[in-house]
Amino acid sequence: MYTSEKNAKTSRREFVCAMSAAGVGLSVLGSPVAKGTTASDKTLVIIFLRGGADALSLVPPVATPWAPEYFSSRPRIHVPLSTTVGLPGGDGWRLHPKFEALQQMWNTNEMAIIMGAGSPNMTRSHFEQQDLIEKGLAINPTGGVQGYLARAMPWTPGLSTLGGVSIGDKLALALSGHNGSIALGLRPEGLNNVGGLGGRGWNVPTGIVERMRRGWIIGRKENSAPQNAGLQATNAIETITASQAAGGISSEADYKIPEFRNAVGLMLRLPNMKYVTVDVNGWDTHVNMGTPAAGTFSSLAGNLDSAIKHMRKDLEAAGRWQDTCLVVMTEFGRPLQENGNQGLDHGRGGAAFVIGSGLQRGVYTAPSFSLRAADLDAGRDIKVTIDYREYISKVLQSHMGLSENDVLTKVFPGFNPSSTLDLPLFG
Amino acid sequence: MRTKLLLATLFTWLGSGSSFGQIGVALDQRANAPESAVAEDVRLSFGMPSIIRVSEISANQSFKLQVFRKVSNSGLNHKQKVAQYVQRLGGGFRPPMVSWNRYPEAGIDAVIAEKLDSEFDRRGTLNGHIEAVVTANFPKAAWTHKQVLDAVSEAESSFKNCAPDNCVERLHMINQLRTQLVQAEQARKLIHMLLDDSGMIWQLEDFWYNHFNIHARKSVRDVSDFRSRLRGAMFGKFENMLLLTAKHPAMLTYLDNRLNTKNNINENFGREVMELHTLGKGPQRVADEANGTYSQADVENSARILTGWGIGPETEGARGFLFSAEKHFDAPATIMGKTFAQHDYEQGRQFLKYLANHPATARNICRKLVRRFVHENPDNPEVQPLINLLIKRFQSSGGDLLLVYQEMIASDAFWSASALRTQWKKPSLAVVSALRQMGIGIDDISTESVLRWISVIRDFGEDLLMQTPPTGYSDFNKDWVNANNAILWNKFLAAETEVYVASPKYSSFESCLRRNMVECQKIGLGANPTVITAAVSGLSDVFSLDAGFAFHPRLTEDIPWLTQDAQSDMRAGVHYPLRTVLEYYLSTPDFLRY
Repeated sequence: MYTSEKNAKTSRREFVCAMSAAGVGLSVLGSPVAKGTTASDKTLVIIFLRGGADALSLVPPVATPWAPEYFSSRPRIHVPLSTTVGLPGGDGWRLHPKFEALQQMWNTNEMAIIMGAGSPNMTRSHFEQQDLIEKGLAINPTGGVQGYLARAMPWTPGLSTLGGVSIGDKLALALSGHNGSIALGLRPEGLNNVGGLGGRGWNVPTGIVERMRRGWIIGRKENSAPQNAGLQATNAIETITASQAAGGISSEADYKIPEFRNAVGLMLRLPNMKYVTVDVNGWDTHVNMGTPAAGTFSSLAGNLDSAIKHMRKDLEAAGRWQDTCLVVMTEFGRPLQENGNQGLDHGRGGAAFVIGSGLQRGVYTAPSFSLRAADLDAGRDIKVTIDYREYISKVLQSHMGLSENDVLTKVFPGFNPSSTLDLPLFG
Repeated sequence: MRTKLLLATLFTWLGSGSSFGQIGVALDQRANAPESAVAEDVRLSFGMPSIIRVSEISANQSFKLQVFRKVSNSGLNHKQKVAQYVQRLGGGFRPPMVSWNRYPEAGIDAVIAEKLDSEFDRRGTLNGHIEAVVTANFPKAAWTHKQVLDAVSEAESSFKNCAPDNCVERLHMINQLRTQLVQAEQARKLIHMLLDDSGMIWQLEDFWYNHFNIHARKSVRDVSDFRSRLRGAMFGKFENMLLLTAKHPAMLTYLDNRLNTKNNINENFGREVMELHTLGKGPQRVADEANGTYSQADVENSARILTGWGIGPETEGARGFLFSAEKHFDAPATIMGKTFAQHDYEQGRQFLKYLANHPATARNICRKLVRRFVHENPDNPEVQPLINLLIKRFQSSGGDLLLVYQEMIASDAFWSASALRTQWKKPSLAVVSALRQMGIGIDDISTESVLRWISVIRDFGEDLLMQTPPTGYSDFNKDWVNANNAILWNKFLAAETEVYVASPKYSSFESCLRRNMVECQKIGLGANPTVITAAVSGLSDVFSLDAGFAFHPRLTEDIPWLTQDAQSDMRAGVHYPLRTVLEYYLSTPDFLRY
């Protein structure tokens, strides 16, 4: 069973019943539902912290049963209890000092934290592990394979022609293999003139779309790289050009991480965008992690908090927040013990966050989770006790509307959900 | 006339079966003095008429002969031959350098053999004239290693000792210094690629820097020195290059090996030196020495062997490698079943030597070289014989890279029809080759323009010298051909051709095309298809296209459509539809293949 909020547990149903009994006129789901919201408006944003983000710095176990192990193993880089941000009902887990906005989301039942999460594959190589996770596998296949989000797309209710976007210049492996996925690095302002060629002082009879039709699509080999790029680009341009910029957007200075702003810019224009991937680099903290107030890790945490805060703010202002779910994940966590350079080597079990409206807040761990020396992998690493596919499956089903069968057979073939693990993320 | 003499010489040789050494013809001898050799290079680089010289009889005779034989027997047409040389081993065509009367059909094989031979003779030396352009626009590029170290140290200590009211300013200053140092090195790379017509050294340097990836900002003090030494080492033995990179402060910093000590083991470098620099595969559960497969335990032992490797204090004006015995984990260590029982630095040295000479390393390096220079799919059956040959050459020569490159370039596979246009350009090469096609020269180089191009290349996803993970940028370049980059590419070309057409340089192309464009000049408005056809064929000559070369298969078919655009151009007062055709032609994916 999960270890948080056992007594204060409030499932959605119970909440609704209580409120109804109190005579408060709320709709069936217990939260405001914008008109016209259907399952087809749901969006999932996968925020990947590249490099292996340290779980225990993100969510310090400072008042858990393992606090002594934590403090003694990290004399120089632990996060002192007094600086952490509180998680009421979080069973002694707390948040990094910079996670003020995330704390707000915990308070409003919009965040679930999963500890000891990761991939069953034992590799500590970034590239191998990221590769496996994005393919939704535990073992590397011999041939090429689609990304797990690309596999989910055909089974996602309400999928439109432009269904998946990676923010930036490179299509995430997780989205590769479906023609409705592209990478887009454009800023919200750039989306206004996505199809124009710019720089000319006179009327352009043909913009990018026509150029690309001629040069990249017509007469090219079917399914060739140029034709696919051309089709996707022209499709994206036409879709975006036909859309309208909806709602205001906070500044780049507010977001701190521009990719989050670019994601929101796109999401505000295209409410039926199903899957968005955003990468945050820099989490491979081998050395000099710094103090909770300043330094490498602190900056990373602070930027992430700002980015998520403003993403929520802008989406909510446009009435899109309740249809959005964020998953923050990483390829692996880092060892319990600090190294000699005020840093951490590569490890195994990590932290994940699921963020969105209507979540059952809690710090979810498997029954076997432990930071005792005897329970560590190779005597150093937090064991992976929750397969990343456990929580992603839940999100795909409860938020995106895929059937359990589709998730288990199409998206994550070979994955067997644990029968002893209870992850009621959505109540 | 010299050309004819050369040809006569070669035919004599071919006919009589005698070796080069027996030809008693008075040919121009390459001057021995380095100054005149550089002068000749400069003339070649800047597109002046090339003087075809045959070197004195040297050890390279066999390489030149091999290339000559392969090129002439390849069955490729002469434009294909030139394209393979200029594009695979350089930054692409640059019109003053290549027009077809400079690469005449007759004798092309000898010309290519000669040029390649002279590029090898050059080794990793910089072209001094181009270097002057770099430092004129980016003064910090001229700093010595010591000057860089002093400046960075001073800025850092100034920040460390800051008072509350000036800390932000000092932080800004140190960051700005770091940015400028990185930009100076990025500019050096880009400017040489843009201007150097003997570009093989830049292709090789890009390959090796990518292989021994360094993050320029993390190793900001040492990246310039690192690249300079890498250029010096890349024509020698792989083992020496491995040792050089492993000991260089840039690598000791980037992969944290300088912090790896017996009391605080840091595995970063110990892992990557096996996974990426040598054996080329990740750790497995069970080691298998014959295959070069190692386990996680081997990674830990590798890290132990390499403890105590650090950066020395600044002695004699530059910092370098310093081994500390007291930080070294002094015990025998076993990797893949092989025990290294030496002490101190020698243990690491022997370990790296072992890795460098392991068959899996030869296979890894040779496959990578073939993937970069011959065929993007090294598993293609047509290149297997070449890969096997290169592996043999690597192993039998103790990893002599010069010989491996020569074997590769003087191979059937390199000069075969199935090796044509198999590669996709990565962003730096795409941008460089487009700018070169537009005839970029010294006059176009300014701090502003170079920074703009560096930024554009970064927008495509290639932040020069700044790749964060040690894998570097993938050599599977098809990944760059995606929807986002396709959009950005069109926008980049629209902007760049506009700059280009407005520049004085454009008129130099007018002169090439004048014979076709006279009608166009007279016509103010209302262009007709004939004019556009002329523009296309004019372009075809200048930009070295023809249908046989399959640059853009349907360029002429698209003329009616292009005419519309051209008419718009003309209405706006741009008399030549050239810009439209040029922009369109460069924007197609055909330009992105080579």
